[in-house]
Amino acid sequence: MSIIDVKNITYDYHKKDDQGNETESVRALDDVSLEVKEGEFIAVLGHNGSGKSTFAKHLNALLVPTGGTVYICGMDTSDTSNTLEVRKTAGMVFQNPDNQMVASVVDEEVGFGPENMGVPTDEILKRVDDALNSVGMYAYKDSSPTRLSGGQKQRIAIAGILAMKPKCIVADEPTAMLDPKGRADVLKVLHMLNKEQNVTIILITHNMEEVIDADRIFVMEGGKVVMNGSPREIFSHVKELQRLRLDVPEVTKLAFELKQKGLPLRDGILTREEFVNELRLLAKGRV
Amino acid sequence: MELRTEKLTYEYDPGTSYAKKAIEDVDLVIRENEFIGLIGHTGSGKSTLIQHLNGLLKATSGRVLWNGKDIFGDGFDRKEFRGHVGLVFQYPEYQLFETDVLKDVCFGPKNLGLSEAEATARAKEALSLAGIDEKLYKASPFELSGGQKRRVAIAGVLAMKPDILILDEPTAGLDPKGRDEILDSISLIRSETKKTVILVSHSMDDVAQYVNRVIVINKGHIEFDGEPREIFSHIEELEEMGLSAPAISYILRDLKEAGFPIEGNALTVEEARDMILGIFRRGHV
Repeated sequence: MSIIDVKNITYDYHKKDDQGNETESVRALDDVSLEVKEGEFIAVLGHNGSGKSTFAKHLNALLVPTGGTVYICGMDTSDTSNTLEVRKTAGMVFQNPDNQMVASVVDEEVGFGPENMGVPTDEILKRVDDALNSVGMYAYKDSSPTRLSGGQKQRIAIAGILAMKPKCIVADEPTAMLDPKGRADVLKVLHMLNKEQNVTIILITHNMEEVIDADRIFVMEGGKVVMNGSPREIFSHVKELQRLRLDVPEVTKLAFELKQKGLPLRDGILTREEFVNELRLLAKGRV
Repeated sequence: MELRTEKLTYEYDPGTSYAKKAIEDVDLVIRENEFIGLIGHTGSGKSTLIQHLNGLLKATSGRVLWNGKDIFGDGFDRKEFRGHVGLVFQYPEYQLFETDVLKDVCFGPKNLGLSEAEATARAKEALSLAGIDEKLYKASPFELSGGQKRRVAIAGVLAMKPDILILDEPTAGLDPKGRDEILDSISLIRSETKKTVILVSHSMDDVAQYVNRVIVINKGHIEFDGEPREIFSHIEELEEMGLSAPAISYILRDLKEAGFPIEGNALTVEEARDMILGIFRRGHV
């Protein structure tokens, strides 16, 4: 069974005038269908307004579709008796860490979720410790979240989700406000959770360098999924991505530019290592 | 025009056990028409520093001098001075509040005491510099796209006609195209109006591509101040400070380590492309 099974969903936002009459409706999702298997690392790309965040909010029942169905581990998200279980299964991390902190001490922050779920106290304490260890923040257990950096706060937000033992984490631009170190740390944690604890990850981002290690990339445009494939497949379409207001990693762009100028490099180079190896081969051929 | 800081030091919660120096002994000189990138990890003191540059914070010790005059000196007109140094905060679109775009941009100049007609003229000029089409003047700011809202907010500061425009993370949360569009307009504003622009950013790639001077702040001190190409060749030192170098600098370093005869540093894809083509064409490998 797929952990996420989205069948033909549409979602309409309704605009209302000051009398509360509907004036206009905007289709934010338009017949989206996709499946994600447990343990996959998925990246979602798309320009501002393409429907990424609306899609993400459907994965833990913050929004339910206007038409079509979202199943999370087989549970229909529009059935309100499933809401709590859906939210335990798929946890969300948002862009701004400051908007997600509720407690004054880190361990209370992380324990907030399981406490709300009615988990027994001993078990909460254990989960909090485990979650903080997982994200490398155990040393800050007794600190105040306000004294942490953005990257540290995001790792605390992730720990807060982990303490609810989710099968899936949906992270909506979790690195957008972070410095390079914070960015790298958050990504490392998401990949580690994916590899070691088999947590399914859905990462929404505008940073092309962050998605090259994903198993699959969905590209959204106009509320539809317009591309779906491995990073190598997706990033071999440089021109198409630029038309969608997106980009490719710098190393891919450099390889593409060199190829345009006549160096016989292969398409879809994603890492510096591959790039250096390709150039090495090319240089050898010349000697 | 010259904005100078002398031994600028700011301490949070002085005299308590939480006392912490956010910046210490910062000496800087900012001149006309510079394009400066200010980088540093979260908590490095960047925000504290920029808030001193237009007098929002008063230093614990040291001074800020505007054309040689202490901005906290007797008789200095700080209100007028704030018109010279415009600060665009992070996510400035959250500060839009008026019923239409033009009114929102007029708010600043009107506050400076300008007449309705003068304020409108300035607002229109600023909106055009920021790349907002006349058709949108009567639109509600809340109907615009994220990128457009941000431009309107930038226009709001431009309409004050600052000599120095400081932008704190102007591209955070924008898609790649939106990011390029904003940075291109900022670059255009600078070249057309001779303003100095200070870009605070966590994106080393953006900084490398646009600015001609980089200031690196770490633990409240200026660690580097100079030409981007030179500064971004210090990859290890930058990483120790929680920063990084542009992707292109890493690629060239790897090529060099693999034995390719790379000399110097490149900051953009085009520069690196030409460098690599040069090596192949000259038959150096």
